[in-house]
Amino acid sequence: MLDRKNKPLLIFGLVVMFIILVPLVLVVITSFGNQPTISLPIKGFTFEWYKNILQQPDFVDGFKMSLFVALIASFSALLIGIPAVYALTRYNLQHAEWFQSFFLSPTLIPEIVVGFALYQTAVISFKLPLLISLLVGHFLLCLPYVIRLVSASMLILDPHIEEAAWVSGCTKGQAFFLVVLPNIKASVIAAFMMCFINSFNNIPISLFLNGPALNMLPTAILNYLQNNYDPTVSAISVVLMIFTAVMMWVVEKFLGVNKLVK
Amino acid sequence: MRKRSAILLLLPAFVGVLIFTFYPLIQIIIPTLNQSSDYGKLYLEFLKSSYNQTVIFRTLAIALFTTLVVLVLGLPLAIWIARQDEKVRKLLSVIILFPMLTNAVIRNFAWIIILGKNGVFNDLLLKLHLISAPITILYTNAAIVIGSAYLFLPIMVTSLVGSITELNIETEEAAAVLGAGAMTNLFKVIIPQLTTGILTGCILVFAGTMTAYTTPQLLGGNRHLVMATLIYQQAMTLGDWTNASVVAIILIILSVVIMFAINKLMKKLDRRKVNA
Amino acid sequence: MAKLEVKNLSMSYDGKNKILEDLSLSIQDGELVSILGPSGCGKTTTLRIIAGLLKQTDGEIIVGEKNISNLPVHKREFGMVFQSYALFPHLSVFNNVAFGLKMRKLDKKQIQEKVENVLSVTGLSDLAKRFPAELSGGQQQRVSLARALVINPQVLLLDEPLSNLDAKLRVEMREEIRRLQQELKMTAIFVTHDQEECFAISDKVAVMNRGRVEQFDTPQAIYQEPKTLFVAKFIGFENFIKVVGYDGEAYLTESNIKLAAQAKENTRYLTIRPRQIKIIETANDSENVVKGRIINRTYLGNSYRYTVKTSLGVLKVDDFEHDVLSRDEDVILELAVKNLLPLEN
Ligand SMILES: Nc1ncnc2c1ncn2[C@@H]1O[C@H](COP(=O)(O)OP(=O)(O)OP(=O)(O)O)[C@@H](O)[C@H]1O
Ligand SMILES: [Mg+2]
Repeated sequence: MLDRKNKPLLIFGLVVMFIILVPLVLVVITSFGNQPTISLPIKGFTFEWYKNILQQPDFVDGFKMSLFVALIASFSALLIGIPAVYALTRYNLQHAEWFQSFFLSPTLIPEIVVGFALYQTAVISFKLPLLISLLVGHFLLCLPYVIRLVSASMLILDPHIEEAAWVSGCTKGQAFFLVVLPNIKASVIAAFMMCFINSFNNIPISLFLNGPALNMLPTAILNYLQNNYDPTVSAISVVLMIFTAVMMWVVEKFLGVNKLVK
Repeated sequence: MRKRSAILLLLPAFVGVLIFTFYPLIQIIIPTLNQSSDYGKLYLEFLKSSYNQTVIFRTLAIALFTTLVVLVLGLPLAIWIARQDEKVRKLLSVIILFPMLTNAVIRNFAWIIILGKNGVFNDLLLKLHLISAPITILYTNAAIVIGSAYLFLPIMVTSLVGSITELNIETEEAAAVLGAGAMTNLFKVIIPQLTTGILTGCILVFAGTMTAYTTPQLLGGNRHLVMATLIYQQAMTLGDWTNASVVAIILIILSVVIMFAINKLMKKLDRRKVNA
Repeated sequence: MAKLEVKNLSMSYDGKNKILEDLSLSIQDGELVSILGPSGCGKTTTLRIIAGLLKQTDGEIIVGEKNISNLPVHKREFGMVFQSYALFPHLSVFNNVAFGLKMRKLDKKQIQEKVENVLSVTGLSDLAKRFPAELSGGQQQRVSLARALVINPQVLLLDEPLSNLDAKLRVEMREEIRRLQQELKMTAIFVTHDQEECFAISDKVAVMNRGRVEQFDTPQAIYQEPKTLFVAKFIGFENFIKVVGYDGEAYLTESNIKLAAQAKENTRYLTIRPRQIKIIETANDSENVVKGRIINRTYLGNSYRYTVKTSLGVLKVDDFEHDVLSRDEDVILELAVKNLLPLEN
């Protein structure tokens, strides 16, 4: 039987786990190498490349910009997505399912096309500032996460508790903040984290929507990597991995990482 | 009254998606149709070019191979993880999640280190005297498949672990009692019960690989364009936005059609829920 | 606490199908009224309209002297107990109960006092710090009741509050509810589809069918004198004899037999309980005697249930006086005038 004690399965599992982890470990190792280009095994040991990150304005500004965009996009996705979810799950709408698919539809469109099409509409036709267009693009990336994760938990929540709050003297707004929100908190946080991480890591949407003063970290790394092959990339990668790990740790602390994928 | 507040709540999201997802699509479709009296002309021209055919074929082939690799590696791994104790399972799931949440550029970069001319892999083969001169892996289709598989393996595994833990292990015990070995059990008992989970994972991997930009850009180089990189090249390098739109539309149609086809297949294959 | 008046309520969810039609109820101060009826007859709908969770298409709701028909739910000052209890999962028992008081902006001391008071009345004092997920069904039910009672509501509304409890707890809780309601002199409406439950605790019962009140009366009156065919069937009558006319002395049945019974307008059926039909030795001259043949017999413990084919149709007869009769035996049945009840359609 294919249970824990099955030898071939055990070996296979360990090997694949190894394949999954080794590449990232190699990145970490190369970040400490002394030579001007990446090579393994490394010679010497240095933190030089980490210092060099700070010499790269593209990385520093990119990090700030990516952080800013990810935060704004995630918050606006929550701000706009949660009311929509509320309407879909609490108003007995005739076409609720249709709306749900409509809101998830941005996921059906390749991200590169989202960026490409948005560039033509938002930037060229509507003449929106590049930053706004970029935020819109990232908002579209985030919205489906909010819709999916939050509506799953709204559907589990007993609709009568809200009514109980109304009967107890709450207005609809009070009831939402005092009774609904505290009970879907976990899914809201999970949605926020998914939005944030995916927006922060996104390349294809930003590709068309960034400009000289609008430099996102992942695209900056991509560009750097296409022109240089020195351990600075390894170093910034390590920094980002630590960033990811810290976020996962925070999520785990507050709601359990497995909430992110459900 | 109630209707009105529902509409108010839905409106921002609705308008947002409408104006910034659907309107832009229409806006890129129109010029591709209006260029001449013959509506489909640009598309036919595009599809006739053997270069473009190669790109489309490469895109699909890479997506297909990636999906197969991910499935072959991911399914047993998912079974292995799902069969652990709660605690170990959680730990392994977190380990799998980590690369999934790590930036794609970083994950591709890792494979550049491994697959490059002077990379780890060539080093290893040389040391073992399996080859006498470094071989080219980076900037080939194979590199794109490897990189994509690495990118999507965690997604497949995570999605499969979920459905495998829901399986009733007694079905396998029943089969074992009837004389089924591990392999028989895998193919005759586990996989048939997992069709939905597997196909859902396959949709994610196939569509994801097919439309991904970063990996083919970094690991494929300029000579191995796929549709996503072709869009970028047409638009930004050649400045031909109409042609880029043609590629974009074809890419959307292909990926949506394939997703729906797999979905259909899934509904057809999964007969467990007929009575539920 | 106040008198509650529901006048000519009509309701339609979709503008076409009428779920409630011209429904009126009048509940005196301190009375517990049950709404009894089969699934889908509109009990919950009625209660939710009274609570203000749904808007009626037509009709009025008056509490005390005040017409609250258009008052939004959060201003109605009602207490409500839900079938699913609907406790706030993120709040402790204490805070669940305190919720309504906080909404009324009472000061901390008052809240503390009132909550502790109601928790002790409902026997929850020891559980104040627990969360809903840590309570048994019966305890959750009590919290839900305490939460409704603490605001000292004008009217207490209960929608099948006991249906999620097991049989034993159900009896216990219904007595508890009745006790509290009487102690606090609370006006209450109790929705149920369990006849025994509602008879046990109500001052009055409204039997509902298809969005209308068929009969609104004391439990005794409903049990002894159901007014309509539906009510009679719902509370367990089994013998129904269709009548086609009344000649001033007796009803004429479909099969042209005369049956004497209390005269009443609009009578369509006569009914009689199986144990009130007497098996008699010889046909006397009195009215309401019919011959029949036993076609089936079931043992019920303290009696036998005979199914008797008569010219009035098939009648069920419970007998515990005679020796056992067997199938195909001929019997003479007497349907005493005082036991035959006229029913409207
Ligand atoms: N939101 C709704 N939209 C449309 N019809 C509804 C809605 N809620 C209830 N109904 C219909 O109204 C009728 C009365 O429903 P209601 O819930 O009041 O019945 P009930 O007497 O409480 O039944 P039960 O004993 O099953 O709880 C039913 O036919 C039901 O199908
Ligand atoms: Mg009901």
